[in-house]
Amino acid sequence: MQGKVRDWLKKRQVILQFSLLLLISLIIVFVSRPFYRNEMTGAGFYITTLFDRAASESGEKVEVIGDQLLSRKQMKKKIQLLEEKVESLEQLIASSADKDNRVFLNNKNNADLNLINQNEDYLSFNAVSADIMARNPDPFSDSLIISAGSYKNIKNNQAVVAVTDNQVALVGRIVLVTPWSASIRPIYHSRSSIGSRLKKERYEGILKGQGDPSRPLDLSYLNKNAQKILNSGDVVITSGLSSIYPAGIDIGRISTIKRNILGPVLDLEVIPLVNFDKLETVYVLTEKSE
Amino acid sequence: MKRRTITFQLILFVVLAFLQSRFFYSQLPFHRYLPDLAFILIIFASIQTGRKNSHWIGFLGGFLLHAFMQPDSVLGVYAFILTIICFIAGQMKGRLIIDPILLPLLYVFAALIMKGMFLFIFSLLPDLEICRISFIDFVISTAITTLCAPIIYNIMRLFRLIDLNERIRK
Repeated sequence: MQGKVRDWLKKRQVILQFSLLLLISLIIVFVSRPFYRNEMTGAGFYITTLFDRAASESGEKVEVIGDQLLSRKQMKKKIQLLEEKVESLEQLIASSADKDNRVFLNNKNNADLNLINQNEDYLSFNAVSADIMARNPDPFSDSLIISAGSYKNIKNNQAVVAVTDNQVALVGRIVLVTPWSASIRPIYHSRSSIGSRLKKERYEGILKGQGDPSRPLDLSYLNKNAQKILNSGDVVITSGLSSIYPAGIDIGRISTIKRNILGPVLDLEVIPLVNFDKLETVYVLTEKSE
Repeated sequence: MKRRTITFQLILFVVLAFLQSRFFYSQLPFHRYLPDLAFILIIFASIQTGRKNSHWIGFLGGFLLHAFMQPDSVLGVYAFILTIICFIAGQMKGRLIIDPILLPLLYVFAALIMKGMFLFIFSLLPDLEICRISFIDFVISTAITTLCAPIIYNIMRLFRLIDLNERIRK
C-alpha cells in the first residue's frame, strides 16, 4: 500500500510541487500584511538604491573629470580672468555705500525654497529638496525614487511637492524610506486617494488617480450644488482632513465637469499642475523640530 | 557540470538584469516603457531547465522581482504568476527547434499576455495594491519587451549561456 502511494507520488511529483508552490504563493498574497511586505521590499529597495545613487553620482563625477581633462588650458585662462574679476568686485563691494548688498546667484533651488518657505500654509514644515534619480520601470507599479532619505529626516507618509510655473503643487507622498533614498507614490497612482476641496468655492471631495500621468484625476463625492458656481479651470487644493497632506497645497485644475442629472453627487476631472514627464526636483515637507 | 554552470550563470545574469533595468531611467527618452529584461531571462531560463524544475525558477524569480523591482506591489502575486508561466514554458523544452528570431519573440509575447491577464484579474480584487494601466501603456510596454527577446536570446547564445535546442540535437 505504502509502495503504491509512493509510486503514485513519484509519478506526479512535478504536478504536486507546482500545485504546492501555487498554493503557497496564493496564501502569501492574501495573508501578507504591509509590515512583512515592507520589510522584504525595504531590504531590496535599500540595496538597489545604493546602486542607483552610486550610478548617478559617479556619472556626474566622470562628466566633470572629462571636462577638466579636455579643457585644462582653457580652465587655467578662465581662472586667471575670474581672479581678476573677483578682485575688482571685492573692490567695488568695499567701496559701496550699501553694506547690505548681496550678490545673488542664479540658483533655481534657492528661489523655489524661498517660494515654499514664504507660504504661510507650510510654516510648520521644512522643505527638503531631492532629485528624482529613478523611476520604477514596470508600469503596473509606478513610483518615483528620490535621492534623499531618513538621514534628511524624511519619513513615511510625508507630503511631496514641486514648484511649477512659480506655483507649489502636490506630487505625492513618501511610501518607502532608506537612509539615502525614498520612494514616492505619485498622485496619479491608481491607489492614491486625496482629501481635497475647491480653492474658491470650498466644496470638499475625494481625488483619485487613474494609474497614468497623462490621464486626468477623478474628483468625486462633491456636493451637487457646486455645479452651479464652479467653472473649468478652477483650482483644486488639499483639504488637510486626511492628516497626510497639509491643507492648502495646489493639486490641479478642473478640466471637465461631468453633469450627472440623476446622481446625488458631482464628479469632476482634474488635470494635475505638475508635469510628471518633466519632473526633476521635488521637495519633501518634513516636520520642523522644536 | 555544464548544465550547472549554465544555470549558475543564468541566475547571476538575472540578478544583474534586475539591477540594470533601474539605471536606464534617466538616460532614455521613453523611460515609462523600459523592457523587462529580467522577465525575458526568467522565461528562457525556465525553457532551458525543462518541465521538472521550471516552476521553481518562476516561484523564486517572482519573489526576487518583488524585492528588487516592485516596492509597492503585494508579496506573492508575481511568484504566483511566474510559477504558472514558467511551468508552462518548461513544457516547451525540446518540443520545437527554436530559431533565432521568431520563436523567442512568440514565447515572450505569450508570456507577457498571460502576465497582463493575471495582473488584471488580481487588480479586480479589493485591498490588493495592483495598479491597472491603460491598454495603450500595456501594448507599448509589451511590444518593447517582446522586441528585445530575440536580442537577449542571441546574446545569451553567443556567450553560451543558453542552448534551447540541446535536447533535440542529442
